[in-house]
Amino acid sequence: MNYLKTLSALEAPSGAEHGVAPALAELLKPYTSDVRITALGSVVGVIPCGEPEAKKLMLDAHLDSVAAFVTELVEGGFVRVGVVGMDRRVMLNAEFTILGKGENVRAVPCVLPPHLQKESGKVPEDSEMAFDTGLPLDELKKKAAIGDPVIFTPKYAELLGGRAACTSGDNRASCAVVLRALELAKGKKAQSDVIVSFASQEESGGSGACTAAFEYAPDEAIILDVSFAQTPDTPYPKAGKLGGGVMIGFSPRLSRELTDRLRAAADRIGEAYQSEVMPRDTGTDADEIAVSGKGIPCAMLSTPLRYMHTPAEVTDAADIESAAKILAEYIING
Amino acid sequence: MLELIKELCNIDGVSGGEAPVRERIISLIDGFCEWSVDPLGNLLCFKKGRKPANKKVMFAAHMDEVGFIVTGIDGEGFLKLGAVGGILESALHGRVLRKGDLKCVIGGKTWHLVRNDDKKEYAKLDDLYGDIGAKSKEEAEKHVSPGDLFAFDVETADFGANSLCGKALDDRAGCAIMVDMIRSELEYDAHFAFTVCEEVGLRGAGPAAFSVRPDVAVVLESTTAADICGSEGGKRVTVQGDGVAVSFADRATLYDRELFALVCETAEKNGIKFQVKSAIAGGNDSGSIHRAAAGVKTTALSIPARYIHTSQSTVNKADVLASRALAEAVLSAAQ
Repeated sequence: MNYLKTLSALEAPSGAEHGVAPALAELLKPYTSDVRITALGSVVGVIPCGEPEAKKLMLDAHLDSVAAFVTELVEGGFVRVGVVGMDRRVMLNAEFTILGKGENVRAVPCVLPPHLQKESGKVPEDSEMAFDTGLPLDELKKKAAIGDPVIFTPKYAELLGGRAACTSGDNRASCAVVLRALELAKGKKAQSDVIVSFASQEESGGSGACTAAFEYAPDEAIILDVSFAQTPDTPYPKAGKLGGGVMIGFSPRLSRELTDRLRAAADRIGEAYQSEVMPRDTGTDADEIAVSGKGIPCAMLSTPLRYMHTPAEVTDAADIESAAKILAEYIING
Repeated sequence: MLELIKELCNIDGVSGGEAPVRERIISLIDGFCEWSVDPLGNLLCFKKGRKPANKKVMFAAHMDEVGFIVTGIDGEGFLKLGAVGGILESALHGRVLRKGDLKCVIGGKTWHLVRNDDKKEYAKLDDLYGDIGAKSKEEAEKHVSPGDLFAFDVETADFGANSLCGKALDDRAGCAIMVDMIRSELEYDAHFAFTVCEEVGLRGAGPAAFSVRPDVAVVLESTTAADICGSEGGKRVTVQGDGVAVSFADRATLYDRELFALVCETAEKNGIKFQVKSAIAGGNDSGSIHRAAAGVKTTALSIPARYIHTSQSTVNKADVLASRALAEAVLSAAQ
């Protein structure tokens, strides 16, 4: 299965992820029926290894995507929004869907032609942007309300050589890594109970991850996220190479021991990886999980991704596969 | 006809690469008129009406759309792109393009890595790049050459309560109206020019008018509707749902006053909803048609389009139908 394609179609804006829980439960079905939604909307599945007192390994991949929320319905069928994480520079160029009351509404960004713009070339503030639904206001009010999430309309476009541009590549690429790793490890004896946490609210601060980590209290956690891939304006070492393999993270906030074991797993199976060095914070759920409860040793696997927080996030299937192999090796052999 | 607009919009025909659009139009009009393709690629048609015309009327709509042209390929396999036609800076970054089945992302520096000051300005196309997923220059060169054209990868579809949304509505809507007229019965003989290269300087229409030598030209176009949130009065230029827009002047043409008056009068007489474009802005094929050969009396009937020259332009279906109705009424009134 092309997990990324399947997952990128899911509508899970930050803070309103629970709607996709049934779809994820279905994907986790071959491994466990123990899937539930936490108080904050993370979708967690537990896969016991069968040993009593086994170590508990959490695999955290945040499920949510950048989003906006309706803040105003305006005469003429327009909406104004507040933004969580979206790249403002692409917003007037993107396709949007309002997740309304039982019905999705398409919203088109309002732009004026250059000769009518006061300051052409300026990226508008959130409050200056408006979106057109093509509906009369009274009809719009029946379908959408203040507070409704607005997402980049899901889109998946195949590029050359197993690469793809899609919405929510951040972080469905990592959800795909987890599902593929479970597939690879299926039928093999695991070293630990595996707790899969498709965490909510990463893009708005990591509340989903730290609360799930507290509740399930794992002995260690591997955080799977995406990180910057090289582009002409962002060379090494600011970014990893797309197609160069998953990036293993190094940061004072992460566990050296767990990171070394992860590297050893990659070396054992001869899978290439890159190193991502973060001198301070990781900017991921790892920052929250590591200090959850009495503290949890964390390591990171990051899939290289171009154009983060736009509707066309580019990843390479080879990186997802390589990450999944390393993760599966770690699940099986520690 | 509304279905036909969607179908024509979903064909890619960036200026200079109109052939796929022209071929589809030919397949639709063949048998309903005499047609030929001129040296520049304009499709010129003559349709017999019930009566011979006293005045030779030529309708015109352009087949091309704005898009992108590959100007080079860098050492890593990224494409450098140039804009074909006027495309807003806000309509570039993050968009997916297509050339047949090949997709291309317009990439730019990642938001998180951009300095705060640079987050306030749109990147110019020179600072962005096309990403087809190639891992090397050699791999990219197998799929793309300098000069290749890319169109917005978007499907034009129904939108909102009574609209269409997508790319190329400017001016496939006009093309669809002309196809519909050719396939129906007209009162008088009429000429139709499906033109090339409007978006790069109104290049095709002049030679088309030179060949046809009409007495009267009626350009079927779309034009700016700035009737959006926060915009008022004349600044809206045209208003969606208020009918087809008639121009008295734009940046390319001072329209014939008598013809302008006749068009407005004809609309009123026939109960066709119309509005007068409230800004001297923009331009269309009229600019080259009115000065073709010894000069042509020209009028432009435009469908108000919001977000024109982006991948998500919108038009109101009622306005499209008003344009279709007025075009046919003007054919008779001009005699």
